Parts: sequence; structure tokens; C-alpha cells
Amino acid sequence: MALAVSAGCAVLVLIIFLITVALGKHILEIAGVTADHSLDTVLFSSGAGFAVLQLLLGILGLVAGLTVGSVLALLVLLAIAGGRGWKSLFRLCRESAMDLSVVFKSGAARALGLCIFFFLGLEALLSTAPLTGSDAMHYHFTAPLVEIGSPEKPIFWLTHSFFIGLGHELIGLGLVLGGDKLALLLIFFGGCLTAAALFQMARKWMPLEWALAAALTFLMTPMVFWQISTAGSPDIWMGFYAVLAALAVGQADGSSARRWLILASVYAGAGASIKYTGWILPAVILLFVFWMTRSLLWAALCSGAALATGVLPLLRNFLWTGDPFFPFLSRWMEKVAVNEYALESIQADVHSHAFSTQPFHILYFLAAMTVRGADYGLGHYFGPVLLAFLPLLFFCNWRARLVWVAAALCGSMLLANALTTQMARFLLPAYPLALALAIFGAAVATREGGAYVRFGCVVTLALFGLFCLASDTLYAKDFLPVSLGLESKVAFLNRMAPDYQAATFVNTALAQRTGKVLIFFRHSYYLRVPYEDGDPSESWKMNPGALASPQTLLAFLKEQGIAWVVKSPEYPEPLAKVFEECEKEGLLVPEARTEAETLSGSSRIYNIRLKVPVVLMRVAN
Amino acid sequence: MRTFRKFGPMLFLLWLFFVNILYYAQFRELAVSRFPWLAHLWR
Repeated sequence: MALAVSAGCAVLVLIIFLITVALGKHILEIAGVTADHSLDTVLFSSGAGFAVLQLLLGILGLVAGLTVGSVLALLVLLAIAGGRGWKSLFRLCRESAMDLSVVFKSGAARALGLCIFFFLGLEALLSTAPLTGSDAMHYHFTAPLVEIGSPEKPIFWLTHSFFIGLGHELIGLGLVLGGDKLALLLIFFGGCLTAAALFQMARKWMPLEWALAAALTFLMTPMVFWQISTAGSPDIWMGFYAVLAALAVGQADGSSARRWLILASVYAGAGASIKYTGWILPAVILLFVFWMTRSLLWAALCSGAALATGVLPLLRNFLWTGDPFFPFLSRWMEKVAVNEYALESIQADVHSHAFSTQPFHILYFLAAMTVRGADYGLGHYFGPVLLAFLPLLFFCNWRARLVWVAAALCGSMLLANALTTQMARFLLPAYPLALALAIFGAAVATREGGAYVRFGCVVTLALFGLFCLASDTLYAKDFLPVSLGLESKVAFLNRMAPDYQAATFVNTALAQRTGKVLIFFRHSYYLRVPYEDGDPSESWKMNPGALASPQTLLAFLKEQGIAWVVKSPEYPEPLAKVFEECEKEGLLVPEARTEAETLSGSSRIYNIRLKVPVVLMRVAN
Repeated sequence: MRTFRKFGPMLFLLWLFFVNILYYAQFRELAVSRFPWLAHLWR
């Protein structure tokens, strides 16, 4: 049954993909741009189609809300708008299939293709498991789920909800049409498209076998494996748009050069719409536009194209809070009262704990994020290949424009990350570009550098391949039973989803009762009763400075319609005293209690489990 | 340039050796947490 539902969701993903390709192809035809290669055309079309789809979903979500009816109507309209694109679609599919048969002609290519198929299959299976990713259960999936059904509103009790970009609208689409399984499969599909775009970029520079090795390395890298299967984060879409933007600038030659630059700006804007840090993409692309055209008019036109596809989340935040990058500029915007505690917490949350801006430390970060990854936002999940092959960048063909664009895009993302957060995990969108360059260097060096260099490169890649095989399959072991239908969803969630037991306890205890519940645990995706997050580090509303006495706290709870409070395991430190005083004064009355098992520590791969008390309190009248 | 051609590949191999050793060594704690018997290898 589980496999049948997953197959149904996969068919839906395929239909959405075909709609975006037909729509995108129609847009490319209107723009008068033609790619060299049929697979390039499919990717450019799909990128344009997904950029339009996520933008329209964003507008629909703000104006009318995402519902089954509104989302289906939008998809039908886009399918009709695809028009002549549908005719080209079948020709493109046929040509791409013929091209792939050429790609896998040699034995080495077929062996690499089998490995790619193995990792893709494993990732596809894992992405059909119920949602258990920590950040996804906190906000990537929770915020779209809360917003479904009515026009989107600001959620001040979940500050991370302001980080929601247009990639989250695709999650919203998945949740509306097929639940978290479809939303996760769409993210997985974003990973497939990124790998295909990386392959197309790589094959422009190196023999097919090396290009396939680049795609395989990308797909088996633990960071990519995790992000496109179980994590539930839409960041991979930014990687897809970044590669497409670079490829589009690389295509900008001859009479249609300027139209390609507009298209590159559209992809860069779509990448920027995924998250705040994405705005580095249009900035770099616009520099290239100005450098190539020497025209302020074209730079302005390309800026307009990037803004049109990417500015909606910033505009939404500006209308709601006065701060397009809420909450980071809220101190200066003054439309919404600043919650200093929440702001400091969120700033700490997006910085690695070893963060420093000393010049030597920034250089150190570039190497240390690979070999001391735990200190720098899971940089070790990217593997050693980029650092190991760094000296081989010297061998890349630096006369090719595409090499420069790819290097400028990933270099600027790396520099911006080093100066602002030093969280290597945020560099996922730069990874396909960096990997293409590194493997390009290795492909040339193994030809020109002699036997030692060839031996070193092959051993490094093979060693990493074995490491990925071991770590990815070990990681997959916990998810495969539920994906294959051998384990029930509830048993799996009890075992793997953090705070799931606490959430089900609250759902059961409050099933027949009215009033919202205030919670302090982080993972609220599986709550099915009205609730608000009460942790002051996660909620802009919970300002410890303004909730200093039991009376003010009680008045605040009444004003918010909160009738219940869940203490699990303890109250958050800055509010603990005032909540405990409320308990002593009889303003919070214990109603039910249980013990719930949850995962603890920085990552669930350490498998640290804790039993924590969960107490349901009634707010006294 | 000739010196570079002569010693470059060896230096690159040395670089790869250190990067790989440093990279895989950082997983010791994780590996031991999943497979405690591995701790004997590092004694």
C-alpha cells in the first residue's frame, strides 16, 4: 500500500514536471532562445516553468490561499498556457532519450550510470518516508501547513515562518495535493534536476565519463543525500536555479545573447526567492550582464526580471513587518516592536558556534569547514573532494566564460557565507557549481599531470565513493522499512520523529476541548489542535522583557486565546520563573501528564534518546 | 616550471594524503557511537 501511494505521488510529480516543461518551452519560444542540446532545453524549460509556478503559487497563497481547488485550477491554467510547448515536449523527450543512449555507450559510463541509478533509487525511496527532518518539522513544512486553506498571514509565534520563500510554495502545493510524501518527492525531484543540470554543465568541459562521475559524486555526497531525501528543506531548488543561471550566461552568444541574459536573471531571481542568502545570485549575474553589455538599460532590464521572479517574499515581509529581511533589520524599521531576546536567538541560530570575522579565521574557515565540519554547520557532510581538488582548479580552462560565471557564483556564495554565518550547510546551492569546477580540474589534471596525479584523484574519488556507500546505506536503514511498507507510519514516527510522542499526547488530550495550546517543544508539525509556540527563542510574541509577572503573563495568554500550556520537559529558561510563579498561585492547573521518548543532541544519527515528562496545564479563569 | 612539473605531482599526493586523513578522522566519534567495538581500533 505504501509503495502504491508513493507511486501515485511520483506520477503527480511527473505531471507537474511535464506541465512546467511545456510552459517553460513555450516561454523560451516566445523569448526566441534556443539551447544547443535537447536536454539543456528540457532543463531550461523546466527551470522557467517552475519559476513561474512557484511565483503564481506565492501570489495565490497570499491572495486566496492554497486549496485543492485553487492549486488544481492553477495547474490546469498553466497546462493550457503551455500551448505549443506540449508539441515540442514529446520531440524533446525523444531526443533526450536518444542522447542518453549515446551517453551510456561505454562500459565505464554504464557502470557509473548503474551507481547513479542506485543512489537515485535509494534517495527516492527515502523521500517517500513520512516527514521527520528537524527544521522541516519546525518550520519548512509547518508554516506552509498552518497557512493552507486561507490567505497567508504573518505567524509571529513562529519567527522562522518569515524565512518562507517561494520554494516553500512548492512544499505547500505538495501538502495540498498529496501530503508530506508529495512535498518531499518534489524536493527529491529538484535534486534530480540539479544533478542533470550539473551533468550538462560538466559535459561541456570534460569527457562523458568524468561528467557522469561529477553527477554521481553530487548525488552520493551525504549532504545532498540527506537534503534531497529526508531533510524536507527546499534549498536544493536554489542550487538548480544557480546552475541554470550560469548555463544561461554561458549560452549568451550571437544575436540572442541579451535574451539569454534576461533568462539568466529570471533563474537568478527564482534562486533568490528561495531564501534571503539567495540574493547574492542576481547580484553576481547583474555584474556579468553589465560587464558583457556595458549597458545600464540592459542591467536595469535584467534587474527587473530578477526582481519580478524573486521579490515576492521580501515584499510580503515588508508589507507585514516593514522589514523585507525580517527580523534581521527590525531594529531599524520600527514597524514591529523588537523582541531583543528572539532576535539574538535567531542570529545565534544562523551562525556557527566557531564564527569569527578575523581575517585569518575566514581563511581558516575555508579549509576547516571540511575537516572540522561539526564546528561549521555540518561542512563535513560535503565530503573532502572540493578541498582535495582545490589545487587542480589551476587546470580549468579559464578562458571559457561558463567557467568564470560558475566560479564567480560559487566564490561569492562562499565569501558571503564566510563573512556572515560560517554555516557550511547553507552552501548547498553552491555545491553543484563548485563540484563541476573541481572535477573539471581533475579531469584535465589526470590527462596532463601524469600517473601520480591520476592515481591520487582516482583513489580520492573511490575512497569517498566507498565512504558514501557505507554512510548513506547506514542512514537509509532506519527509513527503508516504512518506505517499503514493512513498518507502520505511527511506529516509524514514534521511533524517528522528534517530539512526535509529545504531539500525539497533546492531540489526544485536547481532542474534545476548545482553546489554543501553548507549547515549548520545537517540532510541532504533527500537532492537529490549535496551538502557538511559546519558546521565546522561536516566537516573536513571547518577549521575556514584557512578560515579567504572573498577571501580565496571564493577561497575555487570555488575549491570545490560549487555554492550555504544555510543559515539556521544562519551561524555557527566560520565562521559567514567571511560569513557575503562575503554577504556585494556581493560575496554571495540571490536567494530564505523560512521559514521552524523544531524540536529543545535535543530530539524530547519534541516536541519543531521552524520556521527558509532558504536563498539560489548564489556564485558570 | 620544470621544478613544478617535477615536484608538483608529489606535493599534490601529499596534500591529498593529509586532506583525506584529516577528513575521515573527524568521524571517529560518530563511528564509535554507532559501533562501540570500533573504539578498540583507536586504542
